[in-house]
Amino acid sequence: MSAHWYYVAAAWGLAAVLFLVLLATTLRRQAQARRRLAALETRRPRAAGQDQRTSRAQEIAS
Amino acid sequence: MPWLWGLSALVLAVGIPWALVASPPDWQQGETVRIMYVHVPMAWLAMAGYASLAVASATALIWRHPLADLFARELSPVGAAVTALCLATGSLWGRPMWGTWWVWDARLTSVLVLFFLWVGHAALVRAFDEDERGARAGAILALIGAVNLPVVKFSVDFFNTLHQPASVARLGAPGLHVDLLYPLLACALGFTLLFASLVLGRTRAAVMEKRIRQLQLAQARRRDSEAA
Repeated sequence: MSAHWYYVAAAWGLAAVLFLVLLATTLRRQAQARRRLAALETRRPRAAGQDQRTSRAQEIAS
Repeated sequence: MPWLWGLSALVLAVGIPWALVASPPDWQQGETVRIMYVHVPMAWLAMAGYASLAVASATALIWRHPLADLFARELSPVGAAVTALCLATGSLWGRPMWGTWWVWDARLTSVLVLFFLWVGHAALVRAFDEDERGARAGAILALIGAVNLPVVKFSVDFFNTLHQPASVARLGAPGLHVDLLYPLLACALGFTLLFASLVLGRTRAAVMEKRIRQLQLAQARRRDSEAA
């Protein structure tokens, strides 16, 4: 392997590491947000009626 | 958007082996020319990405579109990363070709300034307690920094630089042989699609996180009103 291939390998290796880190962090963040949102959204339908009553109470009070 | 991820994987699966194996070595540079297939797309992404940042910032300032702020906020770390990669791969290319890792010529210096603008924007939008204030400050920085884009582009034409002039994005025919040009364009397309996938993925996560905060706030208010 000539010396020039070391530079080529270093350049492409850096690119691979960078994009893999970006890809992993993006996918993990999306998965975490989706899970948390799904957990919060499933709680909302039970509370939706309370939301309406609370906001209606606030309207009357004002 | 899984189709965008899939498309970028497909184009890179074609472009990278083409660049590293199938394309011929340069008659002058030998195998080192293969650094071009990652360095040049990163340079193009650094500049095009910053142009997108400037457009998003203008949209946010003029029309107050909330998605523009989120997009700009998620774009700057990825833009900073590709600009850093452009500088690093440029140094790795310059060492065997020019005999030096770095020179303070117009092209390299202006791209370094571009990198500082990317990092500055990413830091500024996250420096405020209120997201809106940070977004506005970042948008103003992004628009002022857009002045650097023509400086980067025309630096090799207006100044006596060690960095070579443009071979592809120029008036007239590209100066590269098709045996080098086509794999370069394939890699550029693949990396562009990957860049877009990453930024849109981060923006989607940010939108969900904003929605989570709103729901948590609504829950907290509901609990307070029930307690009261």
